Amino acid sequence: MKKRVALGLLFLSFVIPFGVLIYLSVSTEWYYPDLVSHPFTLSNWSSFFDGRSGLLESASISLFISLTVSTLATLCGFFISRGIAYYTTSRWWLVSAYFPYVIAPVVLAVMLNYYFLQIGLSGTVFGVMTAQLLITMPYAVILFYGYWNRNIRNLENLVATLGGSFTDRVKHAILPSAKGLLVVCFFQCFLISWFEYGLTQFIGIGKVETLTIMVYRYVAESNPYLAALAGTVLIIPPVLLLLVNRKFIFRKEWSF
Amino acid sequence: MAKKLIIVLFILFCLLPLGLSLGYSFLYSIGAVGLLSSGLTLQHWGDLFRGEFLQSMFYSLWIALASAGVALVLALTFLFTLRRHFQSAGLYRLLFLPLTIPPIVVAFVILQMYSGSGIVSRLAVQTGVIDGIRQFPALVQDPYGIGILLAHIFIVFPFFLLVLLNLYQHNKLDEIERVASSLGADSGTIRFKLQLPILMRGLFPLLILYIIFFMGAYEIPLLLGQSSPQMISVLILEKLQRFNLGDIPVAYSMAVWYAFICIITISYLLMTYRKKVAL
Repeated sequence: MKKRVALGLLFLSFVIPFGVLIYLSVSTEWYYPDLVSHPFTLSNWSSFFDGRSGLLESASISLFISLTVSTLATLCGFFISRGIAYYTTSRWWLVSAYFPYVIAPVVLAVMLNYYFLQIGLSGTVFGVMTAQLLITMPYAVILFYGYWNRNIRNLENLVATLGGSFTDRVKHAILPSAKGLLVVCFFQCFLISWFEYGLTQFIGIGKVETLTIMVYRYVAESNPYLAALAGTVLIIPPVLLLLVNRKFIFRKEWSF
Repeated sequence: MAKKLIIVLFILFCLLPLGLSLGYSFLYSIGAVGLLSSGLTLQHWGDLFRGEFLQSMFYSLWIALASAGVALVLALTFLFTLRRHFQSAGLYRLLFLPLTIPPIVVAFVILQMYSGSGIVSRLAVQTGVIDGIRQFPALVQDPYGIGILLAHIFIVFPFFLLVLLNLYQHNKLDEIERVASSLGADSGTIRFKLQLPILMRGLFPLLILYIIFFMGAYEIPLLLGQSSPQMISVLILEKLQRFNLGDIPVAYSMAVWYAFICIITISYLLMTYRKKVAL
């Protein structure tokens, strides 16, 4: 009985946040101490779909930034990790990849801001993407590092011995076995970028209005309805990824 | 040539920006650069150890330790008591659900649930437990960081439980339990002297990593934290964005110290656990 209660509470605590978001996104004039006796409306959602709230634009910017960042981070991280695994001997190379990743992104943004201002990247979508790449790329390097084992190297050598070029090695030795990990890395980098707030806020100086920025802005404006709507839109892609494959969500490589 | 290019790319994208930013922040913090710079000084570094910085670091450490500690105890309790239930695919999949919510949205939901005018307070009024908003205890933006703790635990508890379930299976702790039991060990000995040390050895680096992450948390304390003391990231940002330009070198000093603490901790962790860490 106690076990069932515990499991029930666990289920509720995990599901309630989703319920709260959806509930508030269809609410209006929710004054204290009303709980359910206030009016309900779909106007927040219709303002999202017809573009009046600006959230559709924010969703598009977020999607564009996250897709670009995750694509670049995955591709660059893949080949950089190969270089580090094959051509370096000191473990410090890999350890140093953790440095940008463990410092709070917003503190990294504070320290980087001078250079972003000098180059004119502050307050631009390109600037936010560059800043996010500085976190996601080391992450991709860390993720892929373990992939480059002796078997892969032997496979590469086999293709090279048979006269294959670097492209052939990538095509025939690397890609077939790395496909799954590439997809996992792409989606995990996508989520890091999609969830990012502090760095985006500081480098974007509020001009790059991603969905996370909009959630905070609506909270600061005491508009829980649109904040909930933005929050709901934010959780849609990760939930879809979870439905497709839970590997995309769970960062197992952190489990040491 | 290609080999060198790859390494150069790594330095260019991963290390150089960090090095440059640390360098600039360091120079700013000692008065070598900056708008109001009047020559080299260690005054800003000295100021750090007299005021908000230490208070904020200890507050951040308390929040991080408490979040990770409570989440760990909860995860271990669920593992030891309800492990078999998580063999069902549905319940196991449920553990992934909180990982799909961004921290800023978790903070927003906690705010809507536990603030004075939140859902729990409304529910208490509707059921007659309290008469109004003033009787509801401060659960967010409170001195103990309860709201921040709740948000962190919500984020990390399922992750810890998932890792522990994997470790339990990977280390064949079920079999160890059977063997120990047949040799006459009681359940307390099996749990605390056999299984727990194995699980903790596997989880320890992750625990440290999460403590570092939680210490640097920004959006959750921004929404759910109080104005003083603040968590370190929030304090750095506040110092930097205040109207008082004299606070900017202090903010950079804090950032440099915080960054060095993170770098030293992760380096120690990865070098110490080099054989155990599956990298």
